[in-house]
Amino acid sequence: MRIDLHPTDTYGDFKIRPGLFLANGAHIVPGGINFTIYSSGAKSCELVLFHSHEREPFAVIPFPENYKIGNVFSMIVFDLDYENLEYGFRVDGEYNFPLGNVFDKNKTLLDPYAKIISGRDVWGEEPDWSKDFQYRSKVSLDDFDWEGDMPLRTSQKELIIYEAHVRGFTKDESSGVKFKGTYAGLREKIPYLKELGITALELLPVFEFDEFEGAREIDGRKLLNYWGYSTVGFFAPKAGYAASGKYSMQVDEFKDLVKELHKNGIKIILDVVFNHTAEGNEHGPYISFKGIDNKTYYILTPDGYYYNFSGCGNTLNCNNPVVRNLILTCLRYWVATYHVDGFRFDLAAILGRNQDGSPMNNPPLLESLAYDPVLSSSILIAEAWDSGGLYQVGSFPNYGRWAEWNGKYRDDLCRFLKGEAGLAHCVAYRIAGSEDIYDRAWRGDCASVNFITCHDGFTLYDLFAYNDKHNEANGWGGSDGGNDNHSWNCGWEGDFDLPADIKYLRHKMIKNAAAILLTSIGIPMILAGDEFGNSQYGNNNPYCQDNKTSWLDWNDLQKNQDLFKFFKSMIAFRKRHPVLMRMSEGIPIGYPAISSHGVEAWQFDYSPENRFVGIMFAGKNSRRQRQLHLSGNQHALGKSQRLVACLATKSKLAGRSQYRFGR
Amino acid sequence: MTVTVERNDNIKIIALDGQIDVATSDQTCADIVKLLEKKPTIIKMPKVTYVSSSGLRALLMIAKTAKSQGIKVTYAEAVPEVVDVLQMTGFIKMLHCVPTMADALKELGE
Repeated sequence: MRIDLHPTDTYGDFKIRPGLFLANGAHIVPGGINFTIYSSGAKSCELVLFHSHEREPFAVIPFPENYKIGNVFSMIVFDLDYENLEYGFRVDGEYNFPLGNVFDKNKTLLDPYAKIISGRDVWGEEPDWSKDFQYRSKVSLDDFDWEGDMPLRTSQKELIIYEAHVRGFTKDESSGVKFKGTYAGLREKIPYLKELGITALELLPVFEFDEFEGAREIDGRKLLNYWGYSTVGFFAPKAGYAASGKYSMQVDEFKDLVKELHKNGIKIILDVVFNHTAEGNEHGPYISFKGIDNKTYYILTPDGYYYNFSGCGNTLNCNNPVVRNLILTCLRYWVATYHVDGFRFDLAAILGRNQDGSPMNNPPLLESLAYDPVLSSSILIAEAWDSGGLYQVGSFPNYGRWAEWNGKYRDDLCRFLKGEAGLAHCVAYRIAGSEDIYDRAWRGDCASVNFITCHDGFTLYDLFAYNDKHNEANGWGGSDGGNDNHSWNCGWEGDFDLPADIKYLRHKMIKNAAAILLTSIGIPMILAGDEFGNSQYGNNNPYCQDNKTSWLDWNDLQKNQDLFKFFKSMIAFRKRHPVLMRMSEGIPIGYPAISSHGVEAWQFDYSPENRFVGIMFAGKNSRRQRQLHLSGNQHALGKSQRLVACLATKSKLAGRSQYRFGR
Repeated sequence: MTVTVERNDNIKIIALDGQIDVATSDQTCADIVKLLEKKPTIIKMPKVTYVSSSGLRALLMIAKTAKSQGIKVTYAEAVPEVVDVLQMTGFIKMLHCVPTMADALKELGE
């Protein structure tokens, strides 16, 4: 019995009392629901309550004068049916655009801390645009039977990341799962992921977004916001990705996916988008932040316009203390209540910008995340650039804690693989962990997330099947998507009438890429589908293609078994060699852990003409000691290499642990 | 929601009729827990048309309470929509569900 949990006032038929001011958002408390919201400039605020999916609210309850402390409004409303409830806020304040205040008391706004958001419950179901209140906050039950599960404790050195899109992974008929295109469908595919051997699943954005944002029709085909890099609410899993979204059970469905991944030793990493929101610029809709506290949540120009460092209309004001707190609370929430193992931050350079937009040396947000107690075992990966021209690969404020998507790895490897000259010494660095970019003494062994392909750009198959991007279907006349693909079609553009020898060469090239990626120091990341030659038909930016262009075609798994087996073997190979994960000690007779070699041992050729890379890894662990030779050759014909004299078991080592890549 | 005991000899059979949602879940859970005795219990589900989030929790709490008392509880004949919900959310793994009453009885040796 708590004496502060009984009603003190009534409003109409509703019993209410001042709420719990420290609990942002909505929480179930004994007998009622607590609603708390902050706004620095609001004169007054109303709580708006709807029965599920109904157009008109059944109650609008103003926060009484004495329900406010500082700039926080808080109220408990008693006797509400929380399952059949949607809520929002109306906030009144001044409209003064140059000062950044754009309050509009007629707009019903989503709670920035909403843990469930309804309105887009079933993917692709045309919304009723005549409704004023599109994205609706709901109350979530935070209890879940985890059966002892916790975020996994395995070392970050053991990460082998697999980047996938929830819907695209199983939406195609060929996936064979029951709940296609959903969290539950992904869960059905866990045995496949386990067989492949990856140790972490990284999901493209799963925070609630609107697939209809910017939807277009091109040549009779509907184009949607398929990737979802445009957050509506940071605390809510995307309902349309849940088979049970229509019952508002996405929280349970997502947690069960996490629990099952963990049971199978697979971590889960979320791609999170804190750089901007779905509210766009001054022409964009009022969804939440804009109407609640525009100048707190967004970086504005001196005239009140939106800075656009994200390329998406607005920029979240990440280093404002209130926004910082929202981001930190959000990530802690995903780790503590969803057991998520880590995050990849989209356009993370924005998270290090000041409230005036300038880059900071010691951004408080990034520092808070690096030292947060709840996040201390979570992997934090930065996409260390933004669309405002900030490129921080190697210089991202990292506190010895942050990892980065290594864009240099991708660029150097793609160019080397296709046969460009002058890259051998760069590639030697990339394979050895990019210590020229990431100082090992300070950044450790997991700073570099190595990848050759990711959702952005060609798939691995397309990298060796197309010289040019083919983005016509995106409807921008081919102007979208990067032009620096460093791809090579192996002598034949696309797949039509593909000669057998070209196909053979492409498979060889894919295997070369996989072999280097999985023997490089750092954290390897594989794009889902690359392990069986998935193609996007040359589209290098299918962000809007909710169709077979993006959906994985599982028939390819049968057709390209050689590729799948190769990936699987290389992953197993990596796991068998602690030296590749820097989980071994030095060898007593003094070989360095990593050394580069030329055709002759110890004689790496630094001339621009060199096309030969030899790397030796050496180390021991408690069970055995071993060397591992990796030699690469861009020449059309094989060159022989003299290996470094091996230790006692040399013939066995040379036989077992040597891979030569080349054409 | 109505909770009816249809049989109570060496086996107890409890039939449910209605929706298990926020309005009924606490009461349903309490009613069934009160009925539990030291004998295998089958909960008949064909007339349960809808199970909400709180309903899922009620079904789980019944199962856990029974287990802690050493009682075997079987859920039988749930309609396809309810089975789907149990599958999507993973709750089905923590409950003992069988398609038909015959299956449930057969497991108990009848």
